[in-house]
Amino acid sequence: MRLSPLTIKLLRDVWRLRAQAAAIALVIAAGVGMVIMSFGMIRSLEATRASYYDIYRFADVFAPIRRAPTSAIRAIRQLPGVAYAEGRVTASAILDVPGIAEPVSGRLHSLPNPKGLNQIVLRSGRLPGLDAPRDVVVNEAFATAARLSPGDRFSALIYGKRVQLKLTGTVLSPEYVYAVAPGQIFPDNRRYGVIWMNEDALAGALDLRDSFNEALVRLAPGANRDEVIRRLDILLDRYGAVGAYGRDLQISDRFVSNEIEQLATTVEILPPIFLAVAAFLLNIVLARLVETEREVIGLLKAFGYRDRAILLHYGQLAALLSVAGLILGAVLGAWLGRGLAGIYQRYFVFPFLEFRAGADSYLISIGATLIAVLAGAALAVTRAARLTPAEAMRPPAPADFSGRWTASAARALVPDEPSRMILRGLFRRPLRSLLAVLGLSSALALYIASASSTDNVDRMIELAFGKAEREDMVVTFAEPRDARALYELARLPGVLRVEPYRATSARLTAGHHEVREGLVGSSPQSDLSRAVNMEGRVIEPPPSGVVISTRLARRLDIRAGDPIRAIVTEGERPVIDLPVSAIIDTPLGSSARLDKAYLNRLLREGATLSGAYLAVDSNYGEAVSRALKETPQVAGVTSQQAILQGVRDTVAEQMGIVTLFNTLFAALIVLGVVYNSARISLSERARDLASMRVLGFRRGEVSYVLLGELALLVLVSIPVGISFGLALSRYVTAQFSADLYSIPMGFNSQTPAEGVLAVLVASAATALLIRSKVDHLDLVRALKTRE
Amino acid sequence: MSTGRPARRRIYHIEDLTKTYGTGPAAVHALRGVNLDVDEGEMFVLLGPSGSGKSTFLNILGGLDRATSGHAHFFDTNLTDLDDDGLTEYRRESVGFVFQFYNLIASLTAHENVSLITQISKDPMDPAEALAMVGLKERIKHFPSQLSGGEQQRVAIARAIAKRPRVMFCDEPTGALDSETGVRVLDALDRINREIGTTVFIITHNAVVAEMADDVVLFGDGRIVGRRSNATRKPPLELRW
Repeated sequence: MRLSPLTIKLLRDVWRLRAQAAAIALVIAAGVGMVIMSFGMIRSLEATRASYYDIYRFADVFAPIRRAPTSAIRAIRQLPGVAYAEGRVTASAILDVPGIAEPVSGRLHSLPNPKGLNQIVLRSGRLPGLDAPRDVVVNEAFATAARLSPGDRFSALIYGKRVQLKLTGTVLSPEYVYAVAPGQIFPDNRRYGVIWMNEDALAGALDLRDSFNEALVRLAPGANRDEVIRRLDILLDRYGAVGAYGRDLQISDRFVSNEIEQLATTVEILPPIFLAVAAFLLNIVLARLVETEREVIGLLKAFGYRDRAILLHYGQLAALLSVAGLILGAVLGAWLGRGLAGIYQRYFVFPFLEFRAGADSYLISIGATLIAVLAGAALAVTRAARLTPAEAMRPPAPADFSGRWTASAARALVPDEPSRMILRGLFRRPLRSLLAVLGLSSALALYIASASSTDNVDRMIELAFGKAEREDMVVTFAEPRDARALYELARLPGVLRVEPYRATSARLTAGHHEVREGLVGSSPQSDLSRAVNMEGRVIEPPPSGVVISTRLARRLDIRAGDPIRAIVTEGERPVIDLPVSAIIDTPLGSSARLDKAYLNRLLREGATLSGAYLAVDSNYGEAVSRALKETPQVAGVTSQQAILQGVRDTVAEQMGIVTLFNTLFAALIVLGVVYNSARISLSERARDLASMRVLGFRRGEVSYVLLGELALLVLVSIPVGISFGLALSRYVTAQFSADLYSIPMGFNSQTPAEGVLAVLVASAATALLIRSKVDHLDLVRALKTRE
Repeated sequence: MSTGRPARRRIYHIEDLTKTYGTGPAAVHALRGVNLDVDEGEMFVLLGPSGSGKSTFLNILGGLDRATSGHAHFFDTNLTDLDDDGLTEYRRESVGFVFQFYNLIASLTAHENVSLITQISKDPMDPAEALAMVGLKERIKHFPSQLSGGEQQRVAIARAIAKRPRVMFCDEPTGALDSETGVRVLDALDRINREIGTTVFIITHNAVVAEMADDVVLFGDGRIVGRRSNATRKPPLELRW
């Protein structure tokens, strides 16, 4: 087959432009790769979670009650919208694990029926034997953190009865993808464990034979969940129902959703911007590339080629130049997405991973890139094709620089001609200069916005652990206790300060909105645990009324001054109406805070406390833990140090990975843009520069004209890019509508500085490359060729 | 006109200059041994068909290209010994160029195009003076896009002379111009040669131009195939083609 001359030209052009094609490929790969990687990762996690829940039959609705006879299950199964229901026995316990100084909080569940809901995945060992009341399995994360392996023994204090248990295996459960002790935000796997044991043994220990204290419900397809919940509450009211709730309020799912959502915000806002910036830059690059072919286009027309054929030719050129980047982006994006999803799969403890990027992310990102590239080429070709062939055959008129502003501004600003050449080059085509600045500053902005998420997490940690939760330990009692308990804690050697708190679980309602959220009462003038807003200012709980977080206010759709109703779900279960005295934007921690004395009054009790915050002398940490283990009624102790470590290991680390990739891609875009801008400037100015060389200008002097333009564009782009970047970072931060914690805007001047450095390094590297091209300008050709 | 010229210094002494592009059977012998002596202040016209070697010759003399063998002395300096930087300094200090397509910087006015060069010269003219010499005193603030082809070429000449070069190379200076405009450009070159004594080399296809020269060199197949001196130089304004 003989190739047509235009096809041969096409192939040769691609080969000639290979360096630029490589730079273009980088930009495309960054844009396309980002989109596919990010969407692939998020979708994979969502798909994995969905199939995990599905395969292991995770319940849709949970209905905790005090006690119901097994026969009540039949009534539940007959409710409209219920596909399946079963009862189970569950309880909290205090564990005594060898090797752990402090008491460990435990959650006990009866083993699921073989075909029932909330199935578990055996990871090591075996399931408890049918007639082995002491056999238990625990969640894998706890076993790892507490260094427990099958065969080990430990004891549990269940409702005052000490029970010896034997570990037979470790498991995963869709219910505990994220195992967090009640009232905590981040997991402390060493001090919180989930245990599954034979139903008979557990029911026996709790005196719940032939009964259950939690109903699990699987909804029928298309069922109205809220209606099922309403009917369940009515049905189970006489069994001491505290309120059924959907899976979305289940603590682990809430955390997983929160984390995926958070991750999605990080990875889904920026990639489309990446793609848009990449597409925009390619549009400019292709348009300028085709413009340099103006003369060829004129000649082709003179030879009789039709506009359409010429358009097709350059369209093919643009497409060919993009192909490598598209393939690279798609492959790289899918590969990195799968890798990242794998990392998160382990982090979220899903037993398997289902990778799914979705055809639409490929189609959209590749389509958007091609459209941008082809539009850029088409625009330039159409402009060039407007020339009559005769015009192209004549030496073209010199570009017009006589615009008054262009001419005089440069004269006023700089004294020497080479500098005026630079300025006029930029002024004459203000739109193009503007676009170049916009492109460069967008790339810098992406870098800053990506890299600053680490700063934001650092700021969150600083606010949460440096300003808000300053205690070393949090002690939780099994049952609320009177004020004497506080003195007992204060007397322990090594305890420097003790502050009481009263916490109660409740359903908060406002209008038709309902949220299950604990009420936390703390003392005014607290020094350890305090409500802190995003600016780090301490907000004292008012003497009456409740301070709630912006997150909670959003979910309840209320403003400061509005009333809310709290239906307490423990003890006397009072229903309390509370005025919302303030709404604060707080990084994390309790969403509804009151004055402890006020909460005590509302609960019609004395100076009762649920637990206390402790400041502990660092030399006595171990001793205090041991003493707490001996203290009756202490249900759990959490260490802030361990939680902080948990935050660093989880949030900070997961953000770190995403940030690394974003930053890398942003750097690629910077490199691609700077290189292409400079290469095209070189081809546009080649004749001027060669003429200057012929006229006796030294290499350095000639390079000044070329690189001066680049330097100026880069210099202008830097402040613009920093402002863009910070605004973008602020926007991304504001988009975090995560339900459990918020990320503040943390500014660290090092991040923009690194971004600027990346731009400068990319520019300097490009400058060196281009400089070597200046050295090889063909002087003889400059004499002979017209523009 | 002046025939009994005073003894002048020899500006170029060229010996066995050859230039070969490529190697082996594909080698192109652009110059096959050129010998020429040129006195300072002469007006030289190089004639010859395309591919005869005249442009290659001029490129080597102008410091834009290197000879394959032979010598090209500019006063006491052997150009063939100079490295790239040396050639740049030679062009910067001693040589003026006028191109067929003017090669003005479009973003600079006429005045600025000239002062682009005067800024890097040791003893330049005032750019306005150089522009006045080519008859463009009134157009100094105009950009190339506002000038006709002939005017642009005269700016290019002003740019070349403003640094008071010892020698000027003009490669087809009228090639892109109509005859009337071309004559005015040649007139400008003639005045420069007479008034400031710059040695001028003009490459052209146009045999008529040869009448304004002191010496005419004919190139053919990489060699000088003929040389003649005009007894009188015809004023350019009398040339017609």
